[in-house]
Amino acid sequence: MSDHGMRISADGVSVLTGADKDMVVTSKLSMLKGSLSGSGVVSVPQNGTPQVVTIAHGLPNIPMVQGFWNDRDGDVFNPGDFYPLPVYIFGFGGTDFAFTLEADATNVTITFIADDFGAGGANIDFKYAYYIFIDKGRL
Amino acid sequence: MILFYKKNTGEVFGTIDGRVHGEANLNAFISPGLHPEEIGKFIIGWVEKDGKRMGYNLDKFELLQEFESVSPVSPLDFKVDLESGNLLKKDALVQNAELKEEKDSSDNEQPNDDAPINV
Repeated sequence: MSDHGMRISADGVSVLTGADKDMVVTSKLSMLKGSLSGSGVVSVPQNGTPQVVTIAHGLPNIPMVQGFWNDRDGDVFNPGDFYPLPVYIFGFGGTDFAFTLEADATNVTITFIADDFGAGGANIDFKYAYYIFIDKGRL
Repeated sequence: MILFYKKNTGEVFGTIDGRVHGEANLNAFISPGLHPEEIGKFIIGWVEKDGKRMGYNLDKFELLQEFESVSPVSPLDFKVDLESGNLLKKDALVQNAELKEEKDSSDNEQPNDDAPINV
């Protein structure tokens, strides 16, 4: 592997000694410089009460984040499909759904809301997958 | 992989991927609205600190490979058995509980008068 390549650093970071992850561009790594990823499941009541999942990312900045969701048991949606987050309000089978995904300097937060307007439907187990990128989402 | 589970039920509700976990991974934390003291961590793989690696639950490494593959085996279908601290599939836990219940009920059965009595 050659030591040749190209680096561009942000203002205040040495292009010679700065860490790869602190470069604006480095030919050593792909543009997305690695991530923290994982998955989870949350039981969501259909009474409009938000179920909030927080993932403390431990990064010194607000990261870019990507997420997907899936109806684990196929109660409403095909369990074989994953859909991107966030999801704006939409109705399906008499229930309204809204799922959000956001990041701040401490947490990535995923919120699940389902509301069947008093029909008394059982909780739905939603599975989620997340990818938190080391790159800065906001400088 | 770091598995997060509810300490009261053992149910795995979240994961962080990976085999070698540095400080960044260990500082990360998932919570579905629970207090940190209600959440346990089960690590499969290595923790790297000060350049040294320590293995955790490496007897589950083949299971970890299944979690990472495209197989339908998901860590979210597992539970930490609160008695043994072992990681078991939820179905297996139900079977174990049923077997234990059967055993308990047979232990509690009235003694058979015809059975030999050892003194």
